[in-house]
Amino acid sequence: MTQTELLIQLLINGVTIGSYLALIALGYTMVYGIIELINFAHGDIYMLGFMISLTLLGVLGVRGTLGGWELWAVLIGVMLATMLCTGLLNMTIDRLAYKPLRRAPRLAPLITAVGMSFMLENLAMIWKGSSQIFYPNVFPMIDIPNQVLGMKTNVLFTTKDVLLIGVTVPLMVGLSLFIRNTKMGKAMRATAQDREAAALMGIDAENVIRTTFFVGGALAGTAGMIVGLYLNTGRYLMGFDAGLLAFTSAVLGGIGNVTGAMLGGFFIGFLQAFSDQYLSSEWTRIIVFTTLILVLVFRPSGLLGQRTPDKL
Amino acid sequence: MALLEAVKVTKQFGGLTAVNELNLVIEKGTIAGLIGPNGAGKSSFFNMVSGLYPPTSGHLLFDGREINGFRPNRVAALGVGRTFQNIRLFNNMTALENVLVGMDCRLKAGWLGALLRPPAVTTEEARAREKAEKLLAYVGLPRAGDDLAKNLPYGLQRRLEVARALASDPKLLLLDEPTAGMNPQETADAMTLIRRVRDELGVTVLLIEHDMKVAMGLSERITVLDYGAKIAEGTPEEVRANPKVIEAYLGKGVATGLAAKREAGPPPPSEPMAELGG
Repeated sequence: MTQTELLIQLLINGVTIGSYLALIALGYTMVYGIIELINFAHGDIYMLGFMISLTLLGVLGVRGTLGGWELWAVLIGVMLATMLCTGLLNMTIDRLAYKPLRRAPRLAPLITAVGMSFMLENLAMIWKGSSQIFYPNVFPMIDIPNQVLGMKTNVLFTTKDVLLIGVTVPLMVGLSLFIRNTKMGKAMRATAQDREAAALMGIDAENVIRTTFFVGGALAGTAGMIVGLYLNTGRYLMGFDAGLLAFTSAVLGGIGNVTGAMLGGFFIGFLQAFSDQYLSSEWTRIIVFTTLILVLVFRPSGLLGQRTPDKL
Repeated sequence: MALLEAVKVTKQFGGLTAVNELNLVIEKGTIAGLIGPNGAGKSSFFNMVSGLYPPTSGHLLFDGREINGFRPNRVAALGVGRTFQNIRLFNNMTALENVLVGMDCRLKAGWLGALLRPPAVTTEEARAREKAEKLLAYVGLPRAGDDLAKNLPYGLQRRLEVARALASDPKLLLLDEPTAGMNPQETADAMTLIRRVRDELGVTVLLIEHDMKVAMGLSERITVLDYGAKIAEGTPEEVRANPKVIEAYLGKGVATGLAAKREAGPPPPSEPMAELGG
């Protein structure tokens, strides 16, 4: 592999890692923006997106690679069903665990979120076992530069990378448009800036919170499914790792800031890709968290955060 | 006909009684004033009416309906709009968006509609936008629609708050010190705007005001609170001449002194309050 090829490869890796981290990070940052809660259970919603979509594929009897209309029907159907499940699940978690603590000191829901995370992880372990699980290789993997474009290169860029980016990026753009332009998006931004004033202007804050949890859960669930299709493996603790990195992305970008979360996700993605290559994967976490600490020392509110919390 | 009625409304915070058995009637179509020294319970009363906290005891009736313990968004949906003593706009949203947020409870589209965007939703949004632009023009911000609320000058921010409150088509508008911090010209403009809101839009107005000239100049009826209790009520002239009011504002010594002066010779009745309004 030449230097140029290596660089291109690392950029591709960074974008793929970054795009799913960004999708999870959005859930952290949106919930924080509205109710100032770090929802530690959010990473586990991503894991459950993996598990639920896996089960749905099993129910449909999908075991191997599909093609043609069958592939798209299964993919879109399972994705929508997974989004609905993880969205509703996240909403239910809020209703059961966080809503009763809405007026409690901030530490109470935070600890509850940690507890909720353990619960979900253990439930998933009972449900699917504690070992690595195989996720069917539904999406065909074609080496695009070599097999499609007829180039001779060592850079690996496959249809799976296209799938990952092709699903996550439109979802992020869609979310941004949703928040910027729709009535609910405006209600979300207003609630994030001043919940009390928003309520006094007639906005049902609880409805906004429910929607936020639903949207965040649906995005994380999609990320779980897409990673399943991409890596073809996962386990009950995968949400912990990804959640930690996604949370770091959200903080790095300025927690509460949607654009910041996406930017942070890609930033961590690149950091991980380069660290894996030039140091070693054992060092990656150290690099990621050192960067986080450095950013927070010099910009305490994150890359895009403002000193006064500029949320959503 | 009464639009807002308070019957023996009491609010206690721990051992402190902020509002004490207050009876108050606001007639439909009036501009009413609520005055009193600092800590008299005016803002506590506003907060109870707008649903931020429920009264400890007593009843609040809006448009003939009991609203005790209603959440703020429900009270707003019933037709109560308000502004704040310290401006509380959504700073990082544009002026137009602020007004649209105020309209939220009058728009029907749910989040599913927002995602799928059927024609009914897009026309509703277009109409809402048009109405918001009209409201901005009405309060005197015709070209500020795309400016972030935080970048507007102070006087215009106050106007934007009024536009946002009007966006929900309120029957009652609660104004918490609408002219606080304004220069004389801005104050005069604000008074004109408040009168127009009542005269042209038929919105009943209840205002808290520290500036006596504004309170007396705008209100048709004034209620004076002191230590959470109503000490006087009536037309501005009646309130101005009421010794209890003078006492609450200036202390007992001054009040008796003024009373003695009044016995000695006939002073103009506006004199003590003119000193207050200064």
